[in-house]
Amino acid sequence: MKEFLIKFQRYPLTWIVLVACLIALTISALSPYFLTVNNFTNLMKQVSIVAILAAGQSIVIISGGIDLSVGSVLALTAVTIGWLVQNGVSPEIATACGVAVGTFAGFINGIVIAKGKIPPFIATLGMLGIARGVALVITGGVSYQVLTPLFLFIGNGKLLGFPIPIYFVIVAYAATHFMLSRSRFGRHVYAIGGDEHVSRLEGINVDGRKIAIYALSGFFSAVAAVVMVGRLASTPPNVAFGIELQAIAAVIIGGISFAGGRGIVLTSFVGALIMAMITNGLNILGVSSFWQQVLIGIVIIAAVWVDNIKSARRR
Amino acid sequence: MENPTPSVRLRGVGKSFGGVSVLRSVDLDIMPGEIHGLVGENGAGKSTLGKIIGGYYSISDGTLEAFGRPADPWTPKDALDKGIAIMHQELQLVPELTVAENVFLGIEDQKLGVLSGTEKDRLTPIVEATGFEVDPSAKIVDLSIADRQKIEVMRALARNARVIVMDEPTSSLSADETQRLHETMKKLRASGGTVVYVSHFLDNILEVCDAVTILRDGDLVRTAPCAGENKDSLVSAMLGGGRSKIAFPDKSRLKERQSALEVRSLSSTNGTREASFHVNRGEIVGLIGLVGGGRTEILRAVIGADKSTGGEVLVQGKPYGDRSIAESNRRGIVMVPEDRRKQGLIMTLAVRSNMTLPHLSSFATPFGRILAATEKSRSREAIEHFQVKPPDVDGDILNYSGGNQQKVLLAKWLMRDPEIVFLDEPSRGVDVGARQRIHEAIAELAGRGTAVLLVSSELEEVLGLSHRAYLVANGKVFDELVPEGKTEGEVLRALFQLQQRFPEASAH
Ligand SMILES: Nc1ncnc2c1ncn2[C@@H]1O[C@H](COP(=O)(O)OP(=O)(O)OP(=O)(O)O)[C@@H](O)[C@H]1O
Ligand SMILES: [Mg+2]
Repeated sequence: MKEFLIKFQRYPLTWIVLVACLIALTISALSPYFLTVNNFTNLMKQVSIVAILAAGQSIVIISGGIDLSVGSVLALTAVTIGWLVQNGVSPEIATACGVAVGTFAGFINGIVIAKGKIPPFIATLGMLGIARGVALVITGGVSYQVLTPLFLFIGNGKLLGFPIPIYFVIVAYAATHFMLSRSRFGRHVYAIGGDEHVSRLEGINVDGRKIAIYALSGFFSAVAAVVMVGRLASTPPNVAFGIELQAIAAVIIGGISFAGGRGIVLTSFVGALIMAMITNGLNILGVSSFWQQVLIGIVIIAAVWVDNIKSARRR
Repeated sequence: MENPTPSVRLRGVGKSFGGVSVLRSVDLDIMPGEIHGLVGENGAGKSTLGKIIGGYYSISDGTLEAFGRPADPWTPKDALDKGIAIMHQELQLVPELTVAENVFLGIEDQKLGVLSGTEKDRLTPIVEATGFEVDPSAKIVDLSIADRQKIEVMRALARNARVIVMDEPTSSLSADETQRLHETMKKLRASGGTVVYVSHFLDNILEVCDAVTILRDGDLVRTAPCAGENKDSLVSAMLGGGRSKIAFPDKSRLKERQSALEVRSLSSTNGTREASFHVNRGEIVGLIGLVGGGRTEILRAVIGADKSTGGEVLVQGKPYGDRSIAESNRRGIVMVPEDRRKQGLIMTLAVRSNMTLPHLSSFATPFGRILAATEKSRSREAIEHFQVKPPDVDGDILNYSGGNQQKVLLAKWLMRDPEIVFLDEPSRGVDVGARQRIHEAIAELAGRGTAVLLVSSELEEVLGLSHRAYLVANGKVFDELVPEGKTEGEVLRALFQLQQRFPEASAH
């Protein structure tokens, strides 16, 4: 029993879930509307896109890297879909092409980082500009309407009473969690994040793994784009501007080490949820969105601070 | 005569990590002006005790006094301010800074925040005191481990430390360098300084220490004057039983001479120069030379960690060009590196994940799903075989003692019988008992047909284990010799003669 408690205490999800519950309780004590089914559904829809991006970002951060281009890649994917649909391509094929384009952008990130030995921060900063720029070039800056049944269903449909985006989130996290904790690829992600040099000496194909990691991040951005297109029923090229910082913040608040090599992906979902709850809760309470930004900033710093204190305690 | 105040006094000190007690009611006085040895098996708590004295760990029970005053609060900075410095077992230098910058890190000369750039001048007296020849403007990354260890010593001296805790400072120094370090310790003592000397080399402890403290599994066995101790008395106190005396396992007879590895005039970018040698299946071959003589570099060139510029390598008689670590690994050629922290282990991973990392394919389905149960049971077998303590496959490698990390490192590469294995300092930092276990494991491995290439700074180890050996100096392989019946002295003499015969061998 005692052993179980110690394990439970050490388990990374424990604390962050407690924090999330605490925030939920605080807000619902202030406003009864917060814990209604309606608001909950709303919250889940709001969180879904950042949550999906955070799943991909988690893989990247655990591997010791960072991907700043996710928002732009999302936009590029969305615009590709919109443009194809506009030109009479079926929405299914358009979606497949869009996802391929997003994944390809991530793949390019991977090539530049692994083969060009460009630091991830710089490589993806470049891609942040490139992907967004291409999205603007394709559309000439205009937004396409995509009022096809497929996207209306993704955006507004429900299954078993839950909005469709939730299922995207569940699948994304289940797959990522399995991959990181149970697969050889996942083990290599942790190894590379823990010590890239040693990983090479172990005979791990570090470059190949990095390419896959960034391609995967691109893929997750593309999946988030599909949800986004569903919700907006249109594809504005400036969509999701700055969302990469939210995705990174979700990962950090959740408790994945920014230094790489440690952490579990499920915490990133909770991180995204905490941010969404703060925004949503303060909206309900009528606090200005300017203050929301301040609060989220504080939460990010506090999360890492508490984490440091916790690990120092063990000395 | 009145007793002087101890520099460091521990009373009833206990330490536990997350409920696991690793030190219990330790009473210890470290007197000014003495060299105080600290010995014990791997995981006995030596490093933990050192870190408590240096302020890195807080104590769970008991009291700690420094120079007669309660050490509370006690952080590394407090300890340094009071004159207590610690040299860690795992070196902690900033790789991208120079030697001089590292030595004076945090105590730079400055005016209004502007560096005066006097480091090199300030370094001179320290270099003179220690006799350590190092280029003050060399970057740490470019130095060998032995050199880095010297920098750590100088760093402590630069802080005018009155008490220096040295945690296995000689584990990568040559005999000559060790001797110099001992001289430095004696000089420190003569000027009233105190040294706490943690080491597995009992001869060294007996040679320079005034007093010695023996730890066993977190308990203090005794503190006694060194004069009354000898190797056997220390070993039996450490082990707590009648066990003692190390003996090398019998060398297996080689029946067929089947070439496993043949290297022909191999040159490389890392300074290997036309090295030629061969290893047969089931044979243990030693490379004998001085630290910095290019032995590790030869291994790295053969395995493909560094680029070759000429020569060829034959594996089982067939040429193996275009070498890379991944390809060598696939062919069953593996290398156990000398620096477990920087080259061998991933400190953020659990023990099990570290062990199976290079063999992950054989613990996974074709689709890459890891078979956790098999992985666990095989890792458990391997760590039990090497007597890793604690034997927990899911433990954080970071929290294991240095010697136990070393055992995990070996267990990792030897858990699947490789075809050819390069062992670079395989028993660095492990205790007497574990060393014997490692020697047996190496002999068993060879007995099963693996070709072993062994590099060790301990001549005794190479001579005791190898069937054949080569003398290596300055990146070149010279004479071959059969260790059978040779004494360390004879081999050393051969090495020095070599340097006379071939002046190039000593050009360094
Ligand atoms: N930070 C830590 N967290 C948990 N356990 C620890 C930590 N540091 C050390 N230990 C445990 O404390 C015990 C003593 O370790 P310590 O490093 O003091 O051994 P040691 O005597 O220096 O051994 P070695 O000769 O192998 O270096 C070991 O069982 C080790 O696993
Ligand atoms: Mg130790």
